[in-house]
Amino acid sequence: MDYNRLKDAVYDIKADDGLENRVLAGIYEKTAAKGRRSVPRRLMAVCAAALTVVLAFDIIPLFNKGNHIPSPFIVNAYSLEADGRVIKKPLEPDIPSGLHFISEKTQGFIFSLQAFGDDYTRYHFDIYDEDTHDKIDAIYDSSRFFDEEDNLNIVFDPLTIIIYPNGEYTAVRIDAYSNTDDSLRASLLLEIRKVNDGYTGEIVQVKSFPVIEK
Amino acid sequence: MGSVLQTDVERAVHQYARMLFRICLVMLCNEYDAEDAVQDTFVKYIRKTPAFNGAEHEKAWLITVATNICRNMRRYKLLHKPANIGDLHDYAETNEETPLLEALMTLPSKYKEVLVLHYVEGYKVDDIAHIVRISSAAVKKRLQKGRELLKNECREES
Repeated sequence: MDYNRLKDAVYDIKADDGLENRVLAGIYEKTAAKGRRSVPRRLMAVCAAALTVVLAFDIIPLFNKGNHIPSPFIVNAYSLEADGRVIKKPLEPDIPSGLHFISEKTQGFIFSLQAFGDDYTRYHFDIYDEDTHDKIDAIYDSSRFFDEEDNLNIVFDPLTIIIYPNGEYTAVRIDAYSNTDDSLRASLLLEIRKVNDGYTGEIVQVKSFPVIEK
Repeated sequence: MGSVLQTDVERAVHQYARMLFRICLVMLCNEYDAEDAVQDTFVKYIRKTPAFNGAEHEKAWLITVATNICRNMRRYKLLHKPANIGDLHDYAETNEETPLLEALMTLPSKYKEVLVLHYVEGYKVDDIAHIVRISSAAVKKRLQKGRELLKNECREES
């Protein structure tokens, strides 16, 4: 069988002249649209009612009643002020945190991950671009960085990670694996956007996974 | 629209939209989903403003993002709606190779992805490994298995 015929077969697919215009119109619309999609009120009411039933009758065991571990992430982001002070801001899910970096050496999104009530050495992390799955350029375990006057700044958190985002927007996936059995314990999705000469970070998703007892 | 110039986006759309549409259509078997995937690919292109080493790098980046979007969409479709390739003749220009296209579309995604990148876009095994993020050995295996499945599918149809 001549597999090179595949090229003719695929190129036989009609891509009409309006395709480019529709794609352009679509991307302008999608990039211009701000905020989240509106949800019909009726659907919201149904969901709220369902959630009330679920909570009232304890259908889903919340608050770690099962074998679920809490997310090992406490994400603290750091900004370096003009006077050399380091300001630490804990990142909360869905709340963007503005950060300002002032020198070439500190360009990057600096944050620390702490094991929640536990020792951070119990986890190892995989940090990659959510869209392309490319490894994100990051420095692990670094507890120091330089400010614009080459002064060494120390961050006293157990695991400090400096991420160097690509371009204006990076969706960073951070997976935490157990050092004991290599199982995935938690996954966090962090959106980093470049704003002026700094970055804004937002946690958009945190998932924790059950501990499987052997 | 970030710092990407409008002319850059228009140039990229004119240069790559049709190629991405064909790949996405083969992956998703649905014209509207394919067009949506192409749009989302360029939205990522605008938002991320990646730095490219050349046209080939740009093309490979767009294909990587488009195939990842297709995979995510397929995952969703598998849960909600089976793919429908019944109206495939509507997409074909000449209908000469439609049976082969139909056979290709029935293959599982992971096989058609490597077959299209290799035989249609002309990528070598190592390049495909980089785009799909699997090992070269796995690409070879998928190509081999994909060829087998395609041959069987064509045989059955004829």
